[in-house]
Amino acid sequence: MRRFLTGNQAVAEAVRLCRPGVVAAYPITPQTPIYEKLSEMEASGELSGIMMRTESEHSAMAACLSASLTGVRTFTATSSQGLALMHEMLHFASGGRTAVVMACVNRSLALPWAFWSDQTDSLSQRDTGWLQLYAEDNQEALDSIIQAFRIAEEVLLPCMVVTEANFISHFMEPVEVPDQEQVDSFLPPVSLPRRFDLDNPGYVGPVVDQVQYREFRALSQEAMTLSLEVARRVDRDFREVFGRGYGLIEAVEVEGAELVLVTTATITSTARHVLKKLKAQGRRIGLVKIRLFRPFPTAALRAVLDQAPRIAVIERNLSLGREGIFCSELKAALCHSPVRPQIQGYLAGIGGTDVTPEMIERIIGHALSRPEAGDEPIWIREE
Amino acid sequence: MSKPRCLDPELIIPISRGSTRVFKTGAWTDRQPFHREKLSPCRAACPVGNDIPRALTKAAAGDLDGALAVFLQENPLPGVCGRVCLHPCQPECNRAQWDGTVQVRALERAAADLGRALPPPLSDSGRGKPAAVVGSGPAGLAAAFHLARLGHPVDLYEARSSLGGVLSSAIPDFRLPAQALERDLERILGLGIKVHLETRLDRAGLKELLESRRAVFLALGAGRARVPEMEGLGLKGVLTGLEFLEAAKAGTPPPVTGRALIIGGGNVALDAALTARRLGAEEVILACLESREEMPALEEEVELALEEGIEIRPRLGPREVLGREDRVAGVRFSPCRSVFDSEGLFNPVLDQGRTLELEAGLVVLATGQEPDLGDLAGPELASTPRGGLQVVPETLAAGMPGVFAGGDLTGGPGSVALALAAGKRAAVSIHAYLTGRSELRVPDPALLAGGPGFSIQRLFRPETDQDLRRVVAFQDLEPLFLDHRPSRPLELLAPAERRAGFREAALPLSHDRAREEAGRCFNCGTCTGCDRCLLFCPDSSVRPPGEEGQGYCLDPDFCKGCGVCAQVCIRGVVGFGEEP
Repeated sequence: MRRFLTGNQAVAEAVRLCRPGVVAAYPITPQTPIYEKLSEMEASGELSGIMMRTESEHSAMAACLSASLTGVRTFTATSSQGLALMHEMLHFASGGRTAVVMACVNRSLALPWAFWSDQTDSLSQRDTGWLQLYAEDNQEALDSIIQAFRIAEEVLLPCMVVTEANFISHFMEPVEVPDQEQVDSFLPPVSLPRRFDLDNPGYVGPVVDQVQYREFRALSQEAMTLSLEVARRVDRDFREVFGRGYGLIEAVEVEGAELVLVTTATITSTARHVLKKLKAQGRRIGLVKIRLFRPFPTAALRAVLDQAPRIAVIERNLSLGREGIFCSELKAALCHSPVRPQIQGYLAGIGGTDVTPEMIERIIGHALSRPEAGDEPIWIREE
Repeated sequence: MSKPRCLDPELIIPISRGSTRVFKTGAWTDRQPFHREKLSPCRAACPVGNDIPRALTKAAAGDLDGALAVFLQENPLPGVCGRVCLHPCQPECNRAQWDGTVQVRALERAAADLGRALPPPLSDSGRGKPAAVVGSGPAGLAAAFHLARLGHPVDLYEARSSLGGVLSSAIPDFRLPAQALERDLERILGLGIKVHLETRLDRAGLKELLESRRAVFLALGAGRARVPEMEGLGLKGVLTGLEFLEAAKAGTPPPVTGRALIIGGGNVALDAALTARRLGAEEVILACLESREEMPALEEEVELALEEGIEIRPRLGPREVLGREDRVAGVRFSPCRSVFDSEGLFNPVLDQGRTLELEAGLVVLATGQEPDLGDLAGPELASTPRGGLQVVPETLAAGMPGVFAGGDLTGGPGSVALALAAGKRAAVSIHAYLTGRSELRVPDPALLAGGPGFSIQRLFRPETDQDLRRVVAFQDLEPLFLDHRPSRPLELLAPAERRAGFREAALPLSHDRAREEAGRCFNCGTCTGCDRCLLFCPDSSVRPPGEEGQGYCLDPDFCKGCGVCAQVCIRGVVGFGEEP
């Protein structure tokens, strides 16, 4: 059914449709409406399972990962400081090979205190062993949640679906909300290892030696690698059932392009608009949207970018002292490319500032005007 | 298709299916806690050495039989002490710093009245070694009681026709009913003590006694009134405190009409005032040298007397008893400037220039008692400046071999509890003497907070290795676990009912009420088996008490020295970082 929803509402609808056993969360702007909507659904009986109102995000994640170890489907949502507070438990969730699914609504990290979209909060959790999917709009947010449960439960790794403050969380868009039967046919009932078994008692998380630690890491890395294929297959299956799919990345008009823009999340939509206009003028500009950040889809990116002469990465995040994080990741992914493309990073949407079509045109003009890309990122501001 | 290894549930996360006993976490530390019982401040203050926290642990569980058995370990007279003891334990109660002291005295009475128990025997090593006790007041009863528990055949001599000394002859029924004393006496005599009533002892009698009994304990009390010298003491209607109380108790009181004037500020004076009131005095005035704050009587007793309309006139020193013909008519007083001199000795200074006369039809001089040695004093049995018999304080041995003495006979302002303590000390000394030991003093481990109080149970039948030197202070308790539960006020007869007769003024605690009040006890220093140390130990290294009766113990293989057990012990039993 097509409905007019905010991104947060779309996420809550997706969670409801996935029939979680435990939702444990703590409110934080701009995620709070997810928490509130799920609470309403619990009160009205629409939400299966139980909702735990914990005293902190740290506890929320502890509850989720413990519940997941008992074999139930679990969900939480947070943002910014809440995610930072969860950090320790994120490692527990992945190291415990749980299948927790989380919606992370990107929000700037303090200080300065603010509520705007900035991806640095989720990207800071890059090394916690979580899968990360970045959504471009409200529909993709809903769809990614449903996909996330299937991926996480298959590869036994937790998965974060990342949306953006305001641009997704609070902006309303028409969203196709699938019906329950469709979701049930796509997402099977949960089947996870049950670690709390009275007939086979064990202590989860005992001390291990160095070699054991290394081997557990190696298995997690294998599972991460495997999840690239699983995520691709799940997306394909999703398209079959629902008629929509997103891929791990999306490439638009990259063949023979003089410049390829690389974007994530909502900046992608604006870039699509600019490219349509430039195409009409006969310009050959391509676009690649990165949707899956962890595991990083290196092979998929090389397949579409190995021949690109110039690449401009437009960022809404910053690793202070380096550059935009997607730009660094992309440079590393393409370092064995035969063409060795010129990759220039642009810091355009830091702090949740608007990245307008005019700014993107300026980025294109700048990228094409220089014979070689620079090592430092370039700040793009309003004129 | 088989699952890849990276998805095999049994391989991807560490799970220990065995025991964690392989991890000897005890190797991580050089500090370990220890479980050792200590002394409560109430017990440290109790001359008798009652194991109050242990008795109240039983009472809180509804086991008044058990509570009585614990009291009887140290005290032959729980029914008496539960009524007349000056309860030095109560001001020291750690709960006093929280929400009010535990009503220990009322609980001892409840245990004595409602509980059923026999005094536990201590030893049979006294068998065949007889001893004699002269005087059956609290000191004599205590000596006889403990000597009998140690196996000695005991002969108890009493000059009067009934046992108990002042307990039976002078303490009024409204404070100590005869049945209460009777119950305590029954338990004592049940130990097989041979009683000789109406047998007064003189010097020749003592010599004779020593021929058949190698040891004798003299506990003759302080039967002679100490009265300030003044005119008019011989007038009719002038009595000493003990004379008045004894006559009243014997049912032959002097005529009491008009105003009764009681002179003295102690508990005997108060008893006399309350007795005069009950015998029909229209007005009772209690005049004493001391200021209201200095009065030796218990403050709570003074309050009750005021409730009954007794007037207190402090800071007055009697100068002369006034008469009309041969009958008393009043007393002339002078204001008292000070009672004690700069060295703290009793040395009243009166303002001789000013006088005040109070009329009275009865004058009772309750100004103290002193021992009456009769012909016993001599070169071997020396007397003290205050008229008592001289003894070695640590052993109560008098100058004559085999003779011991204590209680009011050896002087000093006494109390029932101090007399009981003396009797117990004498029993230990006599036992040591009769069993041929050269050291008669109580050994250190049995001393309470270094003495002089001690535990006879610990001496002969130690149940735990309780450290009786260390007193648990309020700071040693864990306030996180303490609830606020103030005591409900003890119930009394209404003042009008009290004045109407000699019914016991303090109403008893019911079984439930006793249980509730005993439940307020923090059991300082005494393990109640609450299991907190065991439950909170993150390494399961606290082992529960075993069947052999030993307390909680720590497994050094696993205790990693976190100190949580010591932190959660609200009673100061589990220590940490100190020498056991």
